Amino acid sequence: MTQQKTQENKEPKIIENTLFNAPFVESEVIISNFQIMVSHEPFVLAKDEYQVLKSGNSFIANSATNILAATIGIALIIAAKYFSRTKIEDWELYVFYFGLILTAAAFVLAKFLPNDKKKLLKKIDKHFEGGSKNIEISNKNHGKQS
Amino acid sequence: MGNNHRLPKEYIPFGEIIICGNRFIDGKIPISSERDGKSHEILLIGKGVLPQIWLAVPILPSSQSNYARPKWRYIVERNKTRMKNVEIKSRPNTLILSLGISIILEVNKLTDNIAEVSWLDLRLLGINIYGDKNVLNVGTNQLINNTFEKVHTMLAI
Repeated sequence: MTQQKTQENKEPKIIENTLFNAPFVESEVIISNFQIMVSHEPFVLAKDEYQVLKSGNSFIANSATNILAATIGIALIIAAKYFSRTKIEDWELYVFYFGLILTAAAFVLAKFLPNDKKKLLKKIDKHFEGGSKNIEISNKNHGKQS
Repeated sequence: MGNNHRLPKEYIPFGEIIICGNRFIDGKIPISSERDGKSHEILLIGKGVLPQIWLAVPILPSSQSNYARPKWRYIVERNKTRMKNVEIKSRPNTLILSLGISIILEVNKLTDNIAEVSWLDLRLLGINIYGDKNVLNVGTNQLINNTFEKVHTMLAI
Protein backbone atom coordinates (compact mmCIF):
# COMPACT_ATOMS: atom_id res chain seq x y z
CA MET A 1 0.00 0.00 0.00
CA THR A 2 1.42 3.31 -1.04
CA GLN A 3 0.25 6.57 0.37
CA GLN A 4 0.99 10.08 -0.66
CA LYS A 5 1.06 12.25 2.43
CA THR A 6 1.41 15.92 2.10
CA GLN A 7 -1.70 16.95 3.98
CA GLU A 8 -1.36 18.05 7.57
CA ASN A 9 -2.61 15.53 10.06
CA LYS A 10 -4.64 16.98 12.85
CA GLU A 11 -6.78 14.09 14.00
CA PRO A 12 -5.16 11.69 16.46
CA LYS A 13 -4.16 8.74 14.37
CA ILE A 14 -2.30 5.51 14.39
CA ILE A 15 -0.45 4.98 11.16
CA GLU A 16 0.87 1.47 10.69
CA ASN A 17 2.66 -0.57 8.05
CA THR A 18 2.47 2.18 5.47
CA LEU A 19 4.93 2.91 2.70
CA PHE A 20 5.55 6.64 2.44
CA ASN A 21 7.02 8.32 -0.59
CA ALA A 22 6.65 11.82 0.83
CA PRO A 23 7.47 13.23 4.24
CA PHE A 24 5.06 12.86 7.09
CA VAL A 25 3.89 16.39 7.78
CA GLU A 26 2.68 17.52 11.20
CA SER A 27 2.93 21.18 11.97
CA GLU A 28 1.52 21.29 15.48
CA VAL A 29 4.35 19.83 17.45
CA ILE A 30 6.19 22.88 18.67
CA ILE A 31 5.37 23.46 22.28
CA SER A 32 4.76 27.11 22.98
CA ASN A 33 5.62 29.04 26.13
CA PHE A 34 9.01 27.62 25.79
CA GLN A 35 12.03 29.76 25.97
CA ILE A 36 15.63 29.19 25.30
CA MET A 37 18.08 31.90 26.08
CA VAL A 38 21.54 32.32 24.80
CA SER A 39 23.75 33.62 27.52
CA HIS A 40 27.30 33.86 28.54
CA GLU A 41 28.68 31.91 31.37
CA PRO A 42 29.49 34.47 34.07
CA PHE A 43 33.13 35.20 34.72
CA VAL A 44 34.00 33.94 38.16
CA LEU A 45 36.12 36.58 39.86
CA ALA A 46 38.10 35.40 42.85
CA LYS A 47 38.72 37.74 45.79
CA ASP A 48 42.43 38.11 45.07
CA GLU A 49 41.63 38.86 41.44
CA TYR A 50 39.23 41.55 42.59
CA GLN A 51 42.05 43.05 44.69
CA VAL A 52 44.33 43.01 41.66
CA LEU A 53 41.71 44.85 39.62
CA LYS A 54 41.09 47.35 42.40
CA SER A 55 44.72 48.08 43.26
CA GLY A 56 45.19 49.53 39.82
CA ASN A 57 48.48 50.00 38.06
CA SER A 58 51.73 48.25 38.68
CA PHE A 59 54.58 49.63 40.79
CA ILE A 60 56.61 50.49 37.68
CA ALA A 61 53.77 52.44 36.08
CA ASN A 62 53.26 54.40 39.32
CA SER A 63 57.03 55.06 39.58
CA ALA A 64 57.10 56.35 36.00
CA THR A 65 54.50 58.98 36.91
CA ASN A 66 56.42 59.96 40.06
CA ILE A 67 59.75 60.31 38.24
CA LEU A 68 58.03 62.41 35.57
CA ALA A 69 56.69 64.74 38.27
CA ALA A 70 60.15 65.11 39.81
CA THR A 71 61.69 65.80 36.40
CA ILE A 72 59.13 68.55 35.74
CA GLY A 73 60.15 70.02 39.14
CA ILE A 74 63.78 70.18 38.05
CA ALA A 75 62.74 71.75 34.73
CA LEU A 76 60.83 74.48 36.63
CA ILE A 77 63.89 75.27 38.78
CA ILE A 78 66.03 75.54 35.63
CA ALA A 79 63.40 77.82 34.06
CA ALA A 80 63.28 79.99 37.18
CA LYS A 81 67.07 80.34 37.13
CA TYR A 82 66.98 81.18 33.42
CA PHE A 83 64.45 83.97 33.89
CA SER A 84 66.27 85.40 36.94
CA ARG A 85 69.53 85.27 34.96
CA THR A 86 71.11 83.10 37.63
CA LYS A 87 73.87 80.85 36.35
CA ILE A 88 72.58 77.35 35.48
CA GLU A 89 75.06 74.71 36.60
CA ASP A 90 75.92 71.82 34.25
CA TRP A 91 74.94 69.22 36.86
CA GLU A 92 71.44 70.68 36.97
CA LEU A 93 71.00 70.03 33.25
CA TYR A 94 72.50 66.52 33.59
CA VAL A 95 70.04 65.67 36.36
CA PHE A 96 67.21 66.95 34.16
CA TYR A 97 68.30 64.80 31.21
CA PHE A 98 68.75 61.81 33.49
CA GLY A 99 65.21 62.34 34.79
CA LEU A 100 63.82 62.39 31.25
CA ILE A 101 65.59 59.16 30.29
CA LEU A 102 64.46 57.44 33.50
CA THR A 103 60.85 58.51 32.91
CA ALA A 104 60.87 57.22 29.34
CA ALA A 105 62.47 53.93 30.40
CA ALA A 106 59.91 53.42 33.18
CA PHE A 107 56.97 54.09 30.85
CA VAL A 108 58.35 51.67 28.25
CA LEU A 109 58.91 49.01 30.92
CA ALA A 110 55.43 49.48 32.35
CA LYS A 111 53.94 49.11 28.90
CA PHE A 112 55.71 45.90 27.98
CA LEU A 113 56.17 44.08 31.26
CA PRO A 114 53.35 41.70 32.06
CA ASN A 115 51.41 42.54 35.16
CA ASP A 116 48.66 40.84 37.07
CA LYS A 117 46.00 43.37 36.24
CA LYS A 118 46.72 43.23 32.52
CA LYS A 119 46.80 39.46 32.60
CA LEU A 120 43.49 39.37 34.41
CA LEU A 121 41.86 41.83 32.02
CA LYS A 122 43.10 39.77 29.11
CA LYS A 123 41.63 36.66 30.66
CA ILE A 124 38.29 38.39 31.09
CA ASP A 125 38.37 39.65 27.49
CA LYS A 126 39.06 36.17 26.28
CA HIS A 127 36.28 34.72 28.38
CA PHE A 128 33.67 37.03 26.90
CA GLU A 129 34.73 36.89 23.29
CA GLY A 130 35.52 33.18 23.28
CA GLY A 131 33.34 30.19 22.71
CA SER A 132 32.02 29.99 26.22
CA LYS A 133 28.55 30.87 24.98
CA ASN A 134 25.86 28.76 26.46
CA ILE A 135 22.28 28.11 25.67
CA GLU A 136 20.05 27.97 28.69
CA ILE A 137 16.65 26.50 28.69
CA SER A 138 13.60 27.32 30.70
CA ASN A 139 10.18 25.93 30.18
CA LYS A 140 7.24 27.64 31.76
CA ASN A 141 5.10 24.59 31.06
CA HIS A 142 7.59 22.26 32.57
CA GLY A 143 5.86 19.25 34.03
CA LYS A 144 2.49 20.14 32.54
CA GLN A 145 2.97 18.66 29.12
CA SER A 146 1.74 15.17 28.42
CA MET B 1 10.65 21.11 -0.20
CA GLY B 2 11.22 24.83 -0.08
CA ASN B 3 14.60 26.35 -0.51
CA ASN B 4 16.81 24.14 1.48
CA HIS B 5 19.05 25.29 4.20
CA ARG B 6 22.47 23.87 3.38
CA LEU B 7 23.30 20.73 5.29
CA PRO B 8 26.57 20.55 7.25
CA LYS B 9 29.52 19.57 5.07
CA GLU B 10 30.57 16.72 7.35
CA TYR B 11 27.16 15.06 7.26
CA ILE B 12 27.06 11.68 5.49
CA PRO B 13 23.61 10.09 5.75
CA PHE B 14 23.16 6.44 6.58
CA GLY B 15 21.63 4.24 3.90
CA GLU B 16 18.97 3.25 6.37
CA ILE B 17 17.90 4.53 9.77
CA ILE B 18 15.27 2.78 11.80
CA ILE B 19 13.64 5.55 13.78
CA CYS B 20 11.51 4.20 16.60
CA GLY B 21 10.43 1.21 14.52
CA ASN B 22 9.98 3.14 11.26
CA ARG B 23 12.42 2.57 8.43
CA PHE B 24 13.89 5.57 6.65
CA ILE B 25 15.68 4.31 3.56
CA ASP B 26 17.94 6.35 1.28
CA GLY B 27 16.79 9.56 2.90
CA LYS B 28 18.68 12.64 3.96
CA ILE B 29 16.96 14.38 6.88
CA PRO B 30 15.09 12.42 9.57
CA ILE B 31 13.36 15.49 11.06
CA SER B 32 13.13 18.88 9.46
CA SER B 33 11.25 22.09 10.05
CA GLU B 34 9.32 23.19 6.98
CA ARG B 35 7.58 26.49 7.38
CA ASP B 36 6.65 29.24 4.96
CA GLY B 37 8.81 27.71 2.28
CA LYS B 38 11.84 27.67 4.54
CA SER B 39 13.40 24.57 5.91
CA HIS B 40 15.85 23.86 8.67
CA GLU B 41 17.00 20.42 9.68
CA ILE B 42 16.24 19.49 13.28
CA LEU B 43 17.82 16.07 13.59
CA LEU B 44 20.60 14.60 11.52
CA ILE B 45 22.22 11.24 12.14
CA GLY B 46 25.29 10.74 10.03
CA LYS B 47 27.85 8.06 9.45
CA GLY B 48 31.02 7.86 11.48
CA VAL B 49 32.93 5.59 13.80
CA LEU B 50 30.17 6.62 16.17
CA PRO B 51 26.95 7.98 14.68
CA GLN B 52 27.33 11.74 14.19
CA ILE B 53 24.48 13.78 15.60
CA TRP B 54 23.21 17.25 14.84
CA LEU B 55 20.22 18.50 16.80
CA ALA B 56 18.53 21.89 16.60
CA VAL B 57 15.89 23.34 18.92
CA PRO B 58 13.29 26.04 18.32
CA ILE B 59 13.88 29.40 19.90
CA LEU B 60 10.78 31.52 20.07
CA PRO B 61 11.24 35.26 20.27
CA SER B 62 10.83 36.43 23.85
CA SER B 63 7.69 38.34 22.92
CA GLN B 64 5.96 34.99 23.46
CA SER B 65 3.70 35.36 20.48
CA ASN B 66 2.38 31.97 19.56
CA TYR B 67 2.34 32.94 15.92
CA ALA B 68 5.97 33.90 15.87
CA ARG B 69 8.14 31.68 13.75
CA PRO B 70 10.80 29.94 15.82
CA LYS B 71 14.44 30.21 14.95
CA TRP B 72 16.43 27.06 14.98
CA ARG B 73 19.66 26.75 16.83
CA TYR B 74 21.92 23.74 17.07
CA ILE B 75 22.39 22.42 20.57
CA VAL B 76 24.44 19.51 19.31
CA GLU B 77 26.71 19.88 16.34
CA ARG B 78 28.55 16.82 15.15
CA ASN B 79 28.43 15.27 18.63
CA LYS B 80 29.62 18.48 20.27
CA THR B 81 27.16 19.84 22.77
CA ARG B 82 26.40 23.54 22.75
CA MET B 83 24.01 23.59 25.64
CA LYS B 84 24.51 23.41 29.35
CA ASN B 85 23.15 20.17 30.84
CA VAL B 86 23.16 18.37 27.52
CA GLU B 87 25.54 15.48 27.69
CA ILE B 88 26.74 12.98 25.17
CA LYS B 89 27.76 9.55 26.31
CA SER B 90 28.96 6.76 24.14
CA ARG B 91 29.49 3.06 24.22
CA PRO B 92 30.89 1.14 21.28
CA ASN B 93 28.39 1.74 18.44
CA THR B 94 25.94 3.53 20.73
CA LEU B 95 25.48 7.20 21.39
CA ILE B 96 23.27 8.60 24.13
CA LEU B 97 22.24 12.20 24.39
CA SER B 98 20.77 13.36 27.67
CA LEU B 99 19.45 16.54 29.22
CA GLY B 100 19.83 16.38 32.96
CA ILE B 101 18.56 12.96 33.94
CA SER B 102 16.34 12.51 30.86
CA ILE B 103 17.54 10.71 27.80
CA ILE B 104 16.78 12.65 24.64
CA LEU B 105 18.18 10.31 22.06
CA GLU B 106 19.76 6.90 21.84
CA VAL B 107 21.29 5.84 18.55
CA ASN B 108 22.80 2.46 17.80
CA LYS B 109 24.95 1.77 14.80
CA LEU B 110 23.86 -1.66 13.56
CA THR B 111 26.14 -1.85 10.52
CA ASP B 112 28.24 0.71 8.67
CA ASN B 113 25.18 1.63 6.67
CA ILE B 114 22.33 1.08 9.11
CA ALA B 115 21.57 2.92 12.33
CA GLU B 116 18.71 2.62 14.77
CA VAL B 117 17.11 5.21 17.02
CA SER B 118 15.86 3.21 19.98
CA TRP B 119 14.82 6.17 22.12
CA LEU B 120 13.78 9.67 21.22
CA ASP B 121 12.23 12.36 23.38
CA LEU B 122 12.34 15.93 22.18
CA ARG B 123 9.55 17.15 24.45
CA LEU B 124 11.95 18.73 26.91
CA LEU B 125 13.39 20.67 24.01
CA GLY B 126 10.06 22.08 22.95
CA ILE B 127 9.18 19.62 20.20
CA ASN B 128 6.37 17.15 20.75
CA ILE B 129 8.08 14.13 19.22
CA TYR B 130 8.98 11.07 21.21
CA GLY B 131 9.24 7.34 20.83
CA ASP B 132 10.81 4.07 21.83
CA LYS B 133 11.96 1.05 19.87
CA ASN B 134 8.48 0.39 18.43
CA VAL B 135 6.38 3.55 18.29
CA LEU B 136 7.12 7.07 17.12
CA ASN B 137 4.76 9.72 18.49
CA VAL B 138 4.55 12.88 16.44
CA GLY B 139 2.14 15.28 18.05
CA THR B 140 -1.05 13.24 18.34
CA ASN B 141 -0.03 10.68 15.73
CA GLN B 142 1.53 7.33 16.32
CA LEU B 143 3.77 5.94 13.62
CA ILE B 144 4.30 2.20 13.83
CA ASN B 145 6.33 0.06 11.47
CA ASN B 146 6.12 2.37 8.46
CA THR B 147 8.66 2.67 5.69
CA PHE B 148 9.88 5.90 4.11
CA GLU B 149 11.73 5.13 0.95
CA LYS B 150 13.68 7.55 -1.21
CA VAL B 151 12.18 10.49 0.64
CA HIS B 152 14.48 13.43 1.31
CA THR B 153 12.85 14.20 4.68
CA MET B 154 11.03 11.77 6.92
CA LEU B 155 9.21 14.11 9.29
CA ALA B 156 8.40 17.68 8.32
CA ILE B 157 7.13 19.78 11.17
